[in-house]
Amino acid sequence: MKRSFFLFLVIIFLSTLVTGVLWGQGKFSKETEEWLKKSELGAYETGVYDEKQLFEKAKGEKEVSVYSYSSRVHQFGKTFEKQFPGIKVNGFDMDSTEIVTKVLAEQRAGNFAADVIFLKDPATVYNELLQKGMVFTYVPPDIKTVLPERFQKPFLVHHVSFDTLIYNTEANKTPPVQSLWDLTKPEWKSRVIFSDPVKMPEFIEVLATIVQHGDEMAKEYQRVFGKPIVLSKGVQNAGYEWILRMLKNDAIIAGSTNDVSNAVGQPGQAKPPVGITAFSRLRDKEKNPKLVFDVSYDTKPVMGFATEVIVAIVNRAKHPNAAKLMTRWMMGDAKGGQGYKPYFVLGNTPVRNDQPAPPGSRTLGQMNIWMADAAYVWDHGQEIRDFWLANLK
Amino acid sequence: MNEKSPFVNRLGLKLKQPQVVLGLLLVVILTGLVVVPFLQLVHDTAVWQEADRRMSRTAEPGAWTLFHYLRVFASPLSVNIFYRPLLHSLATSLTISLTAMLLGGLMAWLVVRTDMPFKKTIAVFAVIPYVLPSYTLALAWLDFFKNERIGGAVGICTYLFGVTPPDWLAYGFIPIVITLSLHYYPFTYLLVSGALISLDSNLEESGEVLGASRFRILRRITFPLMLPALISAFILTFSRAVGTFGTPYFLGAPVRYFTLATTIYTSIVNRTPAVAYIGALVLILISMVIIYLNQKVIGEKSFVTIAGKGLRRRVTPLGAWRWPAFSLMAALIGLAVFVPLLLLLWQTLMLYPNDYSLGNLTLHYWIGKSQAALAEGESGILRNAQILGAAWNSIRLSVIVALITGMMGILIGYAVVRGRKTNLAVVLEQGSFLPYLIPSIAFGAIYLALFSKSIGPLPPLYGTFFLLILVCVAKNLPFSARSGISSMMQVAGELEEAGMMAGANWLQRFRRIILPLTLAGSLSGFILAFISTMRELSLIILLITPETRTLTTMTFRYVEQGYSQFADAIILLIVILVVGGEFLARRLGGKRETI
Amino acid sequence: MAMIEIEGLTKRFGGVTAVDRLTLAVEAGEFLTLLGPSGCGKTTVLRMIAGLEVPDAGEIRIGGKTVFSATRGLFVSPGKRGVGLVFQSYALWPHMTVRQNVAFGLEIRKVEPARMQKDVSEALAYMHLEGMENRYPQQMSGGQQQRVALARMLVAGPEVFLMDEPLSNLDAKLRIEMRVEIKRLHREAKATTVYVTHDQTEALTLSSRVAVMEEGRLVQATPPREIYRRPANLFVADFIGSPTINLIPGKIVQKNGRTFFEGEALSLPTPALAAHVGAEVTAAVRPEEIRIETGESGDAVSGEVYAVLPAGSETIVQVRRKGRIFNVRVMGETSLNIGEIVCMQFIPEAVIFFQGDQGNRIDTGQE
Repeated sequence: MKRSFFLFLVIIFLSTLVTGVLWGQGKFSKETEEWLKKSELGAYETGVYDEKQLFEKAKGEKEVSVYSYSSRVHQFGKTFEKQFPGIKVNGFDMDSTEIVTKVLAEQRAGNFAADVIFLKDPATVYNELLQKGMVFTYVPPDIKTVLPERFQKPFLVHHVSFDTLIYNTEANKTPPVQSLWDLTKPEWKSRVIFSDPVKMPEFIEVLATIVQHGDEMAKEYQRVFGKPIVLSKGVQNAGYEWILRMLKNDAIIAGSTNDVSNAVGQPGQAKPPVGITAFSRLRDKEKNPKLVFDVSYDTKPVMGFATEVIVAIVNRAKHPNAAKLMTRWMMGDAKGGQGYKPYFVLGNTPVRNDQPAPPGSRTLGQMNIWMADAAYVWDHGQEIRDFWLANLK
Repeated sequence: MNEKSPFVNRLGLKLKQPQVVLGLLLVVILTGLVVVPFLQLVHDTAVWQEADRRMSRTAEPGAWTLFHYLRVFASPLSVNIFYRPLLHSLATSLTISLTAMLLGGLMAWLVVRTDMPFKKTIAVFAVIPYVLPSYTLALAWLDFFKNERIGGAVGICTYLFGVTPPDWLAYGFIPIVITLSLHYYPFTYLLVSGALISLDSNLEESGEVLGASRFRILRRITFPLMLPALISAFILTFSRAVGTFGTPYFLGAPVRYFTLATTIYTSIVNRTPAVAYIGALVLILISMVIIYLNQKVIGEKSFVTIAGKGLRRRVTPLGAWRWPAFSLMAALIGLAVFVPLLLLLWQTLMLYPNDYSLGNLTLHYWIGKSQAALAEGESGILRNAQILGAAWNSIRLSVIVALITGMMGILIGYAVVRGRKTNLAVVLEQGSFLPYLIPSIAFGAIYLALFSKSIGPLPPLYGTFFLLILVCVAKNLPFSARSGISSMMQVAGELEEAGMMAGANWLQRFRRIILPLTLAGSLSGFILAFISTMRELSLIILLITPETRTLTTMTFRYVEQGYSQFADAIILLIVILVVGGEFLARRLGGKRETI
Repeated sequence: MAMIEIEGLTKRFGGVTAVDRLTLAVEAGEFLTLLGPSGCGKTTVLRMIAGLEVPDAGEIRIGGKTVFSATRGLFVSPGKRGVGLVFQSYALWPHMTVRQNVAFGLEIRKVEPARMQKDVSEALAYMHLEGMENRYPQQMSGGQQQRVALARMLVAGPEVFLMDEPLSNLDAKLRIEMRVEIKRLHREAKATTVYVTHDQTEALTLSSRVAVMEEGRLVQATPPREIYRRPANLFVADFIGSPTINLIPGKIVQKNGRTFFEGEALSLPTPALAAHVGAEVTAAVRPEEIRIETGESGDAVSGEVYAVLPAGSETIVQVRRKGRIFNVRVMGETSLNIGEIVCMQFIPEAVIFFQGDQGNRIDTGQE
């Protein structure tokens, strides 16, 4: 046994030695530079958008792979294939975190499977991918004029989506909740439902935005309860205090935004919950006419929390021209456009200032919302996640 | 001939023995598949990770740190990310193991040793729950008991009885224990019925002759003889239950009832892998303690295999209890198999969830064309290129893994049995057990960490189908090695030696003697690997890329998105493939057995 | 030159030395039996000759060709040694028919089909297995399986037959039948045979020479008669013969100028042992070398009949004297009754003596 153990150790040692010789990585490596040049991306962008020429080049690439946080990738993929015959779209839908994890792994593995990524959580994408040269931003030159600067840098923003408060319209003629602080009251115990921030980074954005606006939350508390807020022990500001009280009020954690709208909108409930979910869930009502819910437009201090959905091209993608073409297709046109159509719906807000709001929706300017601050989310996201984890029941 | 040192000579002669060469080769493979990944895991727990820069400004990727250990064991988060999940893991796994042992043991006794009606039928259906993916029952449970808590439609229970099930019944400890007990009891059933079959009734009858009462015989003779089988079943169940991810996730997450396994998953998804790895280490430790205790308790005693020619089996007449016993077993199987499958089937036929009227029935989720208004416009699963692709991946993966693992099992069996009592054999036998100690979810995590870079001459394997094969082979090795070893034990060494005498080289002996003789015995190893790969989720969820998607990962995704119709339909598809695959394998394997 | 030459052969299993520096030569055409109690290493020796076990030290030559040498690191694989082996369990392949079993070796050696067909049929016929070609081993009786195993060995035409307790799994009647069969085989094939058994009757009836082993060492290798008559030491004496030899511990003394063996139950004049006066010895007498008489007689000793065990052609009578039981073989039947007082007559020339401390036979120059 002694001898075999020794043998074992030797084998382990040798095998470990082999594995020790790894950790290869590239940061704007020679290959990347060459790829950028060839693909006319980054510093080598031409500033001209010639769709015909791009299509010709893309035809040679034959396909394009999109990692998308949204399953509607299959819809705009289909229209893309119709518009640009000969280019096959491989659409894959995954969670935003999954996309980041996979791109990281693929970049490390030198397995450049994805061409375009389409996802939320710009903070993470910025710090973990963009800064390391693992993805690049491509803004099709022809739409630069119709996009506000903040939607071009550091990322091309596809649309703004936001989370908002929804309520059951069968049980309530008017919104039952006027302030975010109302949700912490006993009557809403076990009756507020929202996505699991541990699972969904976009909901961390919501929480981070609330924390960032701690002062406004404190003011709102004063307005609702008529006295200044008393922070619990170890709590930094009113934003955190709100999170803590929500948890104490047994907020229900849902697996997806879909679950939230279904829970709130289900007819026949005596005491239906309210929920915080994606504004775009409004379209669920079209699909399932039985659902009875609506957005609470006048919640104070804000009615929603906006987050950005971004598009980027992956470093050393095998089909860069097709990727550019796809990026442009996704951005649509002044009337919405085929490529943008799946998102030209109630609840999403287009970023092109030449586009109208989708029917039934309001434009960004018409709504009282807080915009998520990517830098703040990056700096405080984990802290907030930890705060959440530490205070879970 | 020139003189060589005796040591070199001896080594040279040793290396001429096939079991030594093979054994060494297998140990190297095992090291690569299991030991190296494990060391990588340990290493990563003590080193700053890229993603840690979000958590600590001082993080310096690659440098040593105790940060992760402090975070897990001694931080304000510890209770929620470690201690409570640990408690939940232990509580559920223990209860599940005990319940499963009770159910499986009772069923085994009733089937083997009593005059219960329809024993054969019960025996056929008894193992089906294990064939189903472990979370089948969980999804069916949700379809039935779901209340408003997690949103979406409420369950059938509310529809039928107008009563909303309370949270404790719908989610958390109780349903996890019930569904997993129903899933795992076949372990005990198989082990105990095997032991009961090989137990000679004479042993019991001699007790009877001495005037002992029936109960006394059961307690003093039968039970102690069954103890090794029962304990093995307990260990097997416990270590599987503690590492399972699907069911605790589906049933526990809605009420924030987390176990270590689900915490590991969320930690990985949150890109704090080191924290997940520490959880994995704790799980490994638990498994090791349990197995150590097992050996302590059973000691030298091995399975009861008092085989012989005149083996007689005594049948205990149940008298008035015959039909109640049958009803109980039928109900058990009904609850574990038919009710859940029917519930799932019903769910897949509902156009809108929560509408249980006949008019709401549809085949859309099976064969429907894409409709923008339904499920983000995805078409029914039998028309859906993505799902069909995933099905193809699942089948391919399972078949390849079954073949490779089964083959490796036989080879390991060969090297272990032929090299009996040598150090190499001991190392190999115990080494092949290692993957068993590493929970599936942790195993996947390790492979993700290790194979996303190039290792020596190996290109990075992340994103390849090959990596999935590798991880599934490694994880299934303990079972196929067990069945390989036991089927090899049945092949007397002399049968191979007779081949040596006839001048056959190793390859000829293996192909013409060993393989034909062990194949039938190892069939269960093949089938087990096929089945467990077919329904594998925990192991591969972290390694799947869009191109390598399998049915199980598709299900998981649909569950997460709340499309229970799709999720349930895919589960049914998996069940059909698994049952069909097993049937086919038995048919093919059966032919050989008849000679 | 001997057919099989074994020198200094040693094999250890873990800490146990199974075979200890064994040196032995088997002449061409000889039928040598390795005899000994279980665990004495006889099977290990056979397996090392076959090449199924790799020795730790020593050398083996077969037909003048070295097939194993520890110092030279030489090891010839079993199939290339020109030996055939019959296993105790027969080791017939259960998934092959009788014909396939026998033909396997020829297939491996790539013998052309027509020739193979002929050889196999001949071997089967030789072992009286015609008509059973297509049966599977499980469908045959033990004796038939044994014949298949022999046929399988024969067909390759080895120069050396190795047999590992081939008859131990057969019932008494079949055993005798197969014994004859094996003897015939040996005579007709003229192959050198090494036969392992723990059954002394088998060893004594079959062999031209018997090699007795004890705890890994070779004790004695001589023709059967000599093994029986002149066992090299106490171990061999005690191991060979049924019922076992009578052993009486005692001392060589000098009385009145004559040399006597003085045992606790027996006293015998032993003029040939004059040189050993004062030595502790053990006297050994085969049961058939004691005569029983009912009346008193000169140098006979008396005892009480303890048991009478008739066995057909002979009867074993056990006589108790001074607390010691003597086995006596009497031809035919006897009318002795239990409890009867009888006299035992010893033939001094038939008594063998062993050194008390080492157990080696004291050579008295007799026979």
